[in-house]
Amino acid sequence: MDQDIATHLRASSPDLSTGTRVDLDDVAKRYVVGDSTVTALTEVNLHVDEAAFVVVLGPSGSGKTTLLNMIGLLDTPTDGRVALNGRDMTRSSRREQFALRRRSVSFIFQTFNLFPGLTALENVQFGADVAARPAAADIARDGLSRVGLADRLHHFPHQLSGGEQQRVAIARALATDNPILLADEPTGELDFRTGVQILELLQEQAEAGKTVLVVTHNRELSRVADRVIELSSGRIVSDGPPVGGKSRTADLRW
Amino acid sequence: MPTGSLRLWVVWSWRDLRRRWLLVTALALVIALGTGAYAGLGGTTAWRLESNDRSYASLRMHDLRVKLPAGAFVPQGSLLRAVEGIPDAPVVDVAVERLIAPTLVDASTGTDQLLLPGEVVGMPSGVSPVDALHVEHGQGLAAGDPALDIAVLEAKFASGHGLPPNGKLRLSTGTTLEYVGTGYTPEYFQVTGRSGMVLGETGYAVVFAPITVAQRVTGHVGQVNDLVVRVRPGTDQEAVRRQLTAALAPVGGTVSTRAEDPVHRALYEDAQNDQTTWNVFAFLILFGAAFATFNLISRMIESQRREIGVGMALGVPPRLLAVRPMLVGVQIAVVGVLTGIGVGWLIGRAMGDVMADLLPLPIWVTSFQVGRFAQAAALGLVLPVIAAVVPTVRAVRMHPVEAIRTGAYKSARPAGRLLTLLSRTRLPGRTYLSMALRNVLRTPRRTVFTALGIAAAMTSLVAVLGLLDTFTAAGDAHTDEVGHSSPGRLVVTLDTYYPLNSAPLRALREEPAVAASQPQLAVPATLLGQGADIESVVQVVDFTNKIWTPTLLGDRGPKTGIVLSEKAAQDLGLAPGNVVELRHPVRSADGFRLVTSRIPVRALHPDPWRTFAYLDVAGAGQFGLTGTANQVLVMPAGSVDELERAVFGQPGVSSVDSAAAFADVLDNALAQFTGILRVIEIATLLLALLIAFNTAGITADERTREHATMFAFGLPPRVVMGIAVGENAVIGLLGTLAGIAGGYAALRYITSGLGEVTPDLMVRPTLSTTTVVAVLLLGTSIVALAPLLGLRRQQRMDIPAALRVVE
Repeated sequence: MDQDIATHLRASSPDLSTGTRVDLDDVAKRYVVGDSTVTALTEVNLHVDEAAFVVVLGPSGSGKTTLLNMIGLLDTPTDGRVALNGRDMTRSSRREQFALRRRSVSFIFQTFNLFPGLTALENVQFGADVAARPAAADIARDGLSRVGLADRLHHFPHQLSGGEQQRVAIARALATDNPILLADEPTGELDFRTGVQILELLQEQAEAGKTVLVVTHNRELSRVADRVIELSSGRIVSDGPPVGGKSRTADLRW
Repeated sequence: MPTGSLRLWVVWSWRDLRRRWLLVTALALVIALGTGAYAGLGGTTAWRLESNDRSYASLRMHDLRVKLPAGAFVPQGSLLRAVEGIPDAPVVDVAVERLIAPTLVDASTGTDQLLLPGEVVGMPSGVSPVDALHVEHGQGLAAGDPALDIAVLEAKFASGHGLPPNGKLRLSTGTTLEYVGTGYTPEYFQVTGRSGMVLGETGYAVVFAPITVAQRVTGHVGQVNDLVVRVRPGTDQEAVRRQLTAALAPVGGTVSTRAEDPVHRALYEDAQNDQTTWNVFAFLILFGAAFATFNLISRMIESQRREIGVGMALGVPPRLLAVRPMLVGVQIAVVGVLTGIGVGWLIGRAMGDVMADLLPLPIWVTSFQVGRFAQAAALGLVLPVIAAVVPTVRAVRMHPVEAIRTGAYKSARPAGRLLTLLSRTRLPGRTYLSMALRNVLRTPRRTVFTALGIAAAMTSLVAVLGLLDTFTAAGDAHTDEVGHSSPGRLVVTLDTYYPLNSAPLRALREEPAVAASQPQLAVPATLLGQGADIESVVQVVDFTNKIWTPTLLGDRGPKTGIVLSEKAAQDLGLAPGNVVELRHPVRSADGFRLVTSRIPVRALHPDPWRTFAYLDVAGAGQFGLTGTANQVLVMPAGSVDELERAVFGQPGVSSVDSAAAFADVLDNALAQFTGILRVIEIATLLLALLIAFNTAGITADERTREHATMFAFGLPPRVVMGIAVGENAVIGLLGTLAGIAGGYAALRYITSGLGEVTPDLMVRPTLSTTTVVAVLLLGTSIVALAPLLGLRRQQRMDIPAALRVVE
């Protein structure tokens, strides 16, 4: 039956080409809260043409997570256009959005969002399963080895430390093998040492040809990025390589 | 506690209520259903007894009744003179002579043939001072015109066959009566007919007529055979009874009290005994509601644990922190109790309506049972509060850091061994498909409590359906026994004992519509036991006849011995080869006298009705009836209708019944009994649905972030819903399986107490495969499909917001 569902998932996915390109044109997002309107994003233009490690910087409330949600098609813009690999997804159907999330983007959440009922191995396998990848269990085992958790395969999330949980979450996102990786404050709840390990993992993904988009308020992280986009009050206030050039993770301190 | 602080917590709780109103209402409905069922089902005795009392009083039920033996009649006035001659005559308030004669009634309408056995009850015209006639529809027996052949037809018979309130009836004596209305007297609140079974009214036509009319149409002009008496209040009725018995000894009259009237006894005993059964259901539903309440309120309060942790971190005293979750329990309790009163009233009304339909009493009262409702209200108030105490205490005792910790992993951890087992158990298939089972297993306490709530509801349902199966099985066993050969045979009952070569028997033998016939005897008798006498009909049958003989089990006794039913043997503690004492009539020169004989038990028969006993024809001498018969088994040459028509009106014939007629009576009784059980069935299904809905609602709340994560990974909503359905299906299956086991246990308990309700019937607790499969499918699917009620909510989920949800 599971094979049927996997086949169905593949078959039900619209023909969406997969790639690393992300385009946001004049994107705005406004929320109506009670009697007032809150602007989360305004006039955002962002283009990522090829694989890169992109850090989106900004203080709390600057619109970082909203931006990530727009790219991940979890939210729709009030104005403007969001395109993945050249295809305008702004007015795509719910079905297309789900299919694209299965095939193009993967999320790493600040609070991990692991499934408590699944072991580490199964959580990672979930990623491969959703993407309908064959030999999902092997992929998951391999993924956990890559994040240094080969000895924690059968542990449930509550039996893992925060850093371990985040590594499982990253392994889960990687298990989808989707070209765009979206990480929301991936080191936010981690100690420095674990945070650096996570960053290195994400860097590896960019080097391997994926678009990795990390949103954070930690300016230190931007030092290892290929490109740093700074948000303030919903607007992009700067976009370019890190000031002072790209550093090594070993040089980071926070 | 400062008033201001308390106000804050109350307001906060009120906001909780507004936010969770649907869940609180659904939970309150669970309480309402539990307490309402407890009150509604648990208080039937009081209003049934009150209805009985008032109905009997309104129709002036007799205190004593004199009956002459079957076939015996005396001149009108002689019974009254016997009363006047007793020493206690001055205490007799009123006495009325009646004539009650068996007959065949042709109530056919249009193309529908309706030829049934029955009796004509000759009674005073106008309003009888004893055992008055209650007119249901049409008119009564008008006084002053006894020349007219008018009558009133028994109401349940009329309504059971859809007969109008007036029409024509033809009797087997060839007379036509005009019935002007439908109604009944107190002895016919339930009609037992010849089957001796209550609710046999559609198979037995009772016709009430002025006594002169009754005498004329039955060929007993100037004769009576029945007397009903009312004595003054405070009279020693036993003394009057003894004097009447002595006075009527020459004519063999038997005197019975009101309490000995079988219908009176059944109505009062049933009101008490039925309550035992309803109590089982009331407690089961309450039990299910209690489990569900405990579980669901616990889960609601557990979801507030992080906020409680924050409060503790801020230094709020635990007792103040406990206010808000406890108020959740209070809110549910108050709404539940208020709704419960309504639900209880509705259940009581529904039971009352069904009972009124089942038993046509002239007065039905379903008064509000204040005491019972007070008990239910107290339970309804206490249950949710107690349910809230445990998780609240647990929450406020927890270390703040533990309570505040984010992530979905701090609650509902499985026990150590189960955890290890779970982590090492690889379920086949995609991870998200096995998630349903994983979710069930990782929260064993929650799963068990939810399943137990479902199980309790299903237990009630299984017990209800099992009762129907049990009675159906008993009916089938009877049908199998009476129909094991020549199922199409008819039993022609004669109005008295005729010699085998007499004209009525010859006429039947030679009737062209009769293919074969076999005369037999049916003699009323009493099987005597240790304090448990069994009224019985001994059929004297030629065991070599080709038409029908009883199945003999354990045929070890002498061939002249009696064949008892398994139930009778069980009740009397007898087995083949033992000896039973039988009190029976023996014909003598001046009529019949009662004697007690000791007869060996030859064998047992499998008919579940214990009233039937058989003797070989060689045993007819026991009754002084050798060479006579009062029944004839006949095989129709053509159709049954033709045969019925042919023998209708033949001299000596008082009724023609199908051999399976008794099974039909049972089926009919069962169909009416079903109405009562349907009330419980609806309540239990509603409870299961509510529990499932609440479970699904709370589960959906708890799993919001998981579902949002799945959506973020692109898992289609239908698959996510499928996981929820699968998870519920597992719980539903577990609960239903437990419910089936519990239902069978409850059924065994209920049937063990049915000996008092239906002492004549052997009931073996039976659960049919159909019932098991139907309950399994119904229970599992109701619970499984409950998440679909949240489909709209899932479709409208704000995924980004849900992903940020911490708790």
